[in-house]
Amino acid sequence: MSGCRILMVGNPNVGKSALFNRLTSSYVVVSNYPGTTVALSNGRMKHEGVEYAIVDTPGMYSLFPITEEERVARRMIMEEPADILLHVVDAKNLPRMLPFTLQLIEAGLPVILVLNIMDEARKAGLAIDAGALEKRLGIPVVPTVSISGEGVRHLKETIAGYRPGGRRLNIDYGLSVEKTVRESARFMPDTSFTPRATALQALQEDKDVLRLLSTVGSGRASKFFEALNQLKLELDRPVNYYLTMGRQRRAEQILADVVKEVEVTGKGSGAGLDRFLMNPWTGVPILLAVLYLGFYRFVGGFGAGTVVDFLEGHLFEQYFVPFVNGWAEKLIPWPVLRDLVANEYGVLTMGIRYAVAIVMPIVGAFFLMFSMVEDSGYLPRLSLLIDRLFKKIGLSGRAVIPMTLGFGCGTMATMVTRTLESTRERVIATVLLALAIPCSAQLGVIFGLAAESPGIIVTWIGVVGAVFLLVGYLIAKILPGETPDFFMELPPLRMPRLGNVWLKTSTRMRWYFMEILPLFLLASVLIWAGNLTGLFEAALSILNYPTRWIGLPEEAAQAFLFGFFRRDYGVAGLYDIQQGGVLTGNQLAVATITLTLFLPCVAQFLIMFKERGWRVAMAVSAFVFPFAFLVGGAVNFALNALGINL
Amino acid sequence: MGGISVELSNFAEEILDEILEILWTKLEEGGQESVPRTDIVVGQGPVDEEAVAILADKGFLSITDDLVQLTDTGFEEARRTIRRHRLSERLFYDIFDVAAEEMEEVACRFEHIMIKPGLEEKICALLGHPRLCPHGRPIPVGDCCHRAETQIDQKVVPMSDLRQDEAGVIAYVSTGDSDKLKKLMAMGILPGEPVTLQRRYPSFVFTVGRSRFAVDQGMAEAIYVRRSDPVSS
Ligand SMILES: [Zn+2]
Ligand SMILES: [Zn+2]
Repeated sequence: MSGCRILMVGNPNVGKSALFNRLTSSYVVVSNYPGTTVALSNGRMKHEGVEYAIVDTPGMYSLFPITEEERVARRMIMEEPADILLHVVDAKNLPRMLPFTLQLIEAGLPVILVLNIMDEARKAGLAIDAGALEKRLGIPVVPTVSISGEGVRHLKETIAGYRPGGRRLNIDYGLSVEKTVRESARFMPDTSFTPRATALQALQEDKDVLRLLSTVGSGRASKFFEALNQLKLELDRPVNYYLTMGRQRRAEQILADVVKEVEVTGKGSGAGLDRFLMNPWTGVPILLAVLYLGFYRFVGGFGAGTVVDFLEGHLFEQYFVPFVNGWAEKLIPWPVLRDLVANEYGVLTMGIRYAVAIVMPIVGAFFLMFSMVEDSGYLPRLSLLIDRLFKKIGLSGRAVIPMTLGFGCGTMATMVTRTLESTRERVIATVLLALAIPCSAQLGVIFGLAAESPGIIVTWIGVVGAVFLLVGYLIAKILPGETPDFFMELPPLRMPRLGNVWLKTSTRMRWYFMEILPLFLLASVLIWAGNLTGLFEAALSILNYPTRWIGLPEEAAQAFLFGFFRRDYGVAGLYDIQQGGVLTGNQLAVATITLTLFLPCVAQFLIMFKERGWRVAMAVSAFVFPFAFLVGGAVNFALNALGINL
Repeated sequence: MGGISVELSNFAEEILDEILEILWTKLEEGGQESVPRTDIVVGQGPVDEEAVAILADKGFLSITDDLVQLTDTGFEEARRTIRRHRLSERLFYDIFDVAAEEMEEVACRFEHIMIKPGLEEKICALLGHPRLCPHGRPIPVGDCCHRAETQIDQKVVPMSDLRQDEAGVIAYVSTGDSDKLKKLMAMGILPGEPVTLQRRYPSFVFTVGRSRFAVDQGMAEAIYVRRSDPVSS
């Protein structure tokens, strides 16, 4: 089987990506699904001289998608036939996962069932008879432990020896449903599913199937809807209920004496800690400790401090910049072009220097920390802890993930908002990310700026935090729509695994460089062009007004302007001004607050535009610009009126 | 059902009740105060003129032109009828495990037996004074429900009513909100699965099988659990 294409599917938290790493060599390409920004890992597997292409799909619970990512995963399964489908499940949760396997087999897909995390199943006292399960399902069943590599060889052999075909599996969903399925299967469009399975999807009013159905002619579509409406009259519950229960019953029959409980063990090792994480009285202090150690000490202290000092202060300032400037002087006779490459705003001396010496260490440190936190299973605990608060600003606890990621890179976080369920929630999250969540590069410099005066940091946290809650609360009031539901599976707590952490960090870093580095370079070209054409002069003379109004010296206007090209350029610009000793403590507080709230960088603006459409992107910009200065002005006024000197 | 004359057969009473139920449901669903005569369809047949006339005689209905409306006494009568109907549904669904398709028919018959004094309250107590019928529609509250409010002796309750560390079996998922139902079912939170509630605050945390989930108040209210050992303290 050469050119064989393998798709990996399964729930979140079943060790899918670890298995993907085991199967593929180190050469992994992360690409976006066409037309979306949902990331897919593509890798190659070699076994006995044959090459296989493996794609890892986003996690999904069933063939009925709820979030955007699940929709992409489902679309891949349904519309792009693969030669083999690896359904990866958590062996200790087999009864809950098998219905999805049945759904895949029923759809006529070439499935291999992978019982992963067998070690934890054994620890939980479960004995699973894989051979018996294989016979009953009529498909290959392979037990594995992706972390240790156990069973991976057997899996590779099973893949190599896989021949499609085999037993069909029809589940009985009851008289009324069965009748309608038989009738409507005749009207179904072509997919990689059997007509019966396509009809089952259509009966649940799956949007993608209905869209396909409408393309095969309105006559067939209207016949289908007639049958569906008839069925709805006959049933007293949603069709989905009957289908789910039918599969569940079948799964129970199949699993009878396949899974045996050998011994009942007590609570897992993480149970004590877990209790503390989920209790608000202990959970919030733990969160603060994580923030302090993770953000302040590791990202701020180590990343933005030690590493930046070395790269920027040592390597770049002493060697790289003088070197480039010197060569530019010699090689490029035209000053205008020389400035494009070198000197104050050059592509190399500013673009590359910022990207490599300032942003990379900070963002890298953040991603490393974030991946560790993510792998430990802490984020779902944080979600349930914070859900009640987030509900007040129109979000659910699920939004914790994009919001936390926003402290690393607002652009990536805006993309990740697609894991939220409703458009309303995505819009609210997008606005808050653009307005009140500073990215790590910005944070690092802000902490650096305000290091001598805790008063500035306290004021900054207080004001930005209040804006976050207040604006969220107001948008949630204004935007029509319902408060989102919160529901989340809690994976067991575990020690972060080095391999996983490395994969996640390097994937994110690679993405960051592919997507963001070109924008850095573009930004310094734009700044160069802006300076050359006098466009910046004009923009600056306008920005001078609000800048003066909030009590800042005119030099700060430049920081705001550059801030749009990279938020951290702006803060770094402030850094330069402060080194000159021009800013008072109050001015510093006002400047950092205004700059944090100010428009997001070009990259985030573009992603906002791409993900939410131009209306939202423009509306957000139109709101954020005056609002940032308004808050800055108010803080300035309040500090002076109260006679506070920070 | 003291108001209705004894000489009417059970069959006729079923029709009368059904008319009241239709009018109640219209009011409940769309706030529709009055209903055109032609919209009152009982079984397969069209409006039963005679039955409507009897109900009007009893003072349950007022008829203006072609519109039929419940009077105040009629409203009370309909409320009691609906209560008995939905309690019967619960009874057959939760206790006798009758398939949903057959539930409607048996419930329609059984609600008349429930007229017997005291029976209704006993059944209501047995079911734990349920708030919703299996279709997710509210069951009008009876006196017994008010009395029981202070005591915890319900058998099937929303998960949000379970105590910390209490266990049970999922009885059903409220279908009032089919969106929630889909999400819960997709995650494998299904009737018949054993659950244990581990935390109530700040979110509801529970185990189903060997998996653990966190949900908010709204989702926890949609999951109905049959308590494994009801404590009457
Ligand atoms: Zn009902
Ligand atoms: Zn009661």
